[in-house]
Amino acid sequence: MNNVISYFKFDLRLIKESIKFYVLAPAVFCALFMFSGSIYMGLSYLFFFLIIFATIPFSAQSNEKSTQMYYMFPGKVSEMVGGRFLYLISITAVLFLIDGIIMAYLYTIQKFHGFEVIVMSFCGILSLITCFIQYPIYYKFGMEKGKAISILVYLLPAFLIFGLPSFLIESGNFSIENFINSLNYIFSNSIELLLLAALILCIVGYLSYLISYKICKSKEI
Amino acid sequence: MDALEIKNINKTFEGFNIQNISFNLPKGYILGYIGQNGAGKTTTIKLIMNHIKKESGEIKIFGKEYDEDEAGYKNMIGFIGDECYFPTCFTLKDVIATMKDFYTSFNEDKFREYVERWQLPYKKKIKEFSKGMKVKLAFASVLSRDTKLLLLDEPTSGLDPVIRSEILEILQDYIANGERSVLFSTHITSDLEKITDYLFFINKGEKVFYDTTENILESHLLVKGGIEDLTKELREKLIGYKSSSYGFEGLISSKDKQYINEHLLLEKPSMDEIIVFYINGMRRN
Amino acid sequence: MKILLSNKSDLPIYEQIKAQIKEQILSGAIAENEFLPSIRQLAKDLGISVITTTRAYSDLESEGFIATLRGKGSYVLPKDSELVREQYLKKIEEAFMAAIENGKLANISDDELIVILKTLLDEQI
Repeated sequence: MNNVISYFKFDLRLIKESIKFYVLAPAVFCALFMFSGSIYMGLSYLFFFLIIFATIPFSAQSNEKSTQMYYMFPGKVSEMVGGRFLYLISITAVLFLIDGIIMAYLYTIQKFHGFEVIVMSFCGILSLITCFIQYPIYYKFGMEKGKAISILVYLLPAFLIFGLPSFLIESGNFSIENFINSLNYIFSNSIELLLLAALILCIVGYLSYLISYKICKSKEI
Repeated sequence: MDALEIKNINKTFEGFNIQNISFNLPKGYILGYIGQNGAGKTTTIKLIMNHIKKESGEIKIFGKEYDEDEAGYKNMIGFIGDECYFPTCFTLKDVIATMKDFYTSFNEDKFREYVERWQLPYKKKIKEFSKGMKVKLAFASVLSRDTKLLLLDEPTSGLDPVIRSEILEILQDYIANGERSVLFSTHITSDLEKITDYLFFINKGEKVFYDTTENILESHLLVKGGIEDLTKELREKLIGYKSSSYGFEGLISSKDKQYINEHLLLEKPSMDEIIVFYINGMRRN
Repeated sequence: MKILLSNKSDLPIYEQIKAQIKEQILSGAIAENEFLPSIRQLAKDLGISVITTTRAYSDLESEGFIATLRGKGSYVLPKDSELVREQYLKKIEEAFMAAIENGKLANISDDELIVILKTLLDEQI
């Protein structure tokens, strides 16, 4: 366990420099969104931000050619991967906390309602799942190839989001009734659905860790 | 127990194979690992560190295999390469923090002593260090913790003779107590001639010879003579040779002395000459 | 103890070490029962391989000049007069051989050589 924290701290030291880039621009964006009135955009941008932030150690490691050092440390490969995942969990916690505090504030001033909170939570879970999917990809393919492959990963949900509605409408199965029914279903069972999503999140996370571990264990540098 | 035991290591790559490399390095000695660029020196070291996985064979450091105890195995090794493996955005402060985190035997005072001695700058980032400073930093970090085996992969290339000589002294100091060993891979053979106890010569992934440095230097002779002295009989016995219109120069095993005509010039070869003639001979065949 | 090594010499390094230590033992520069530097210390100080110094010391031991105590190191044995005599005889033989070789090269007869030797010996008295 000790070593997991050591790897985590090493990751943080490694990205110290590059963090400056990554924090400034998005922070400005977020502020702009928030204060120009489009709160939802600002909050969900934060989640998008998580995905970018999650990849910083990988790009730093690649730029600094430090991969050799990671494998030289007297720790197990499982601890090395664990450290990186600890980093992911930590930044997730921080960003979710920020979002959570803002949402709580908005809720208390009545600008936010249950509906919005649920949607935001799903967004958050979705972005974390995306990170979990990205990690083994970056471990396996490195940064350049990894980025290219990651785009495919983004395309799929994007396709679903954009394509699904038109597919549903054209296939004729769609009707206003069905739509309202499904919405009702979602809202009345929102807690259960949220819990289900959280469970899926844990499973995806664990699988991601296992796959990353396997990839790193057999990696040749 | 030997510091390093390598038995029948094999690894296939595209266009190049490591074939059946075996050698033992007893504790308290320095092994010079020599060969041309691309002969397999770095690959062998990567195999020892398990950065590349061997296809067959056994590697043991002080009796321990990598799979038995990943962390313990890696802890015994001190590696110094020709590039600094610390991230270039680090400062010495970051290096110290990292070493403290990972290595329980890290002695910060000792590290600072080395930093003082070699005047490494605390304020600068590693990317602003000169090449010599980077190598010294690597040594400082390795020597201020407990290691049992030093693996050096061409650490002296690009360094001035003063630093090179300092490094050789450091290595001799390292093995002085008889409990630790060094594997020093290089193609700058003059560095090795004096301080190595054993020499392993690798070419195209295969062993050419492995023996004590003393035996190798003593069991070879440089023979020089006129063109007419280069008989077919002699040529067969020569390990390698060069000829011009003025005469020839070749390397021969001392035990083949009888094939040499009395009036030919015999000399003690240097390590460089031995290597060059071996490669020369292999190319002819 | 003084050791000066030459890379240009025909003698291998371990032979040079042996010869120089032997000389100093015979001349008394290194006293009886004095401890020599350890094999590793000597190798480090001279900047040479440990195997070389090991060989030099083990040869000196088998020739009866030094003895090794486990854990303590190697020390100079009392000069065995037999041993000393033998070493000096060896040196004399070598000197004579050199003279003989030179005689051959310059075409000086054996009788002439003996005359020279006698004259030199007489001059000593």
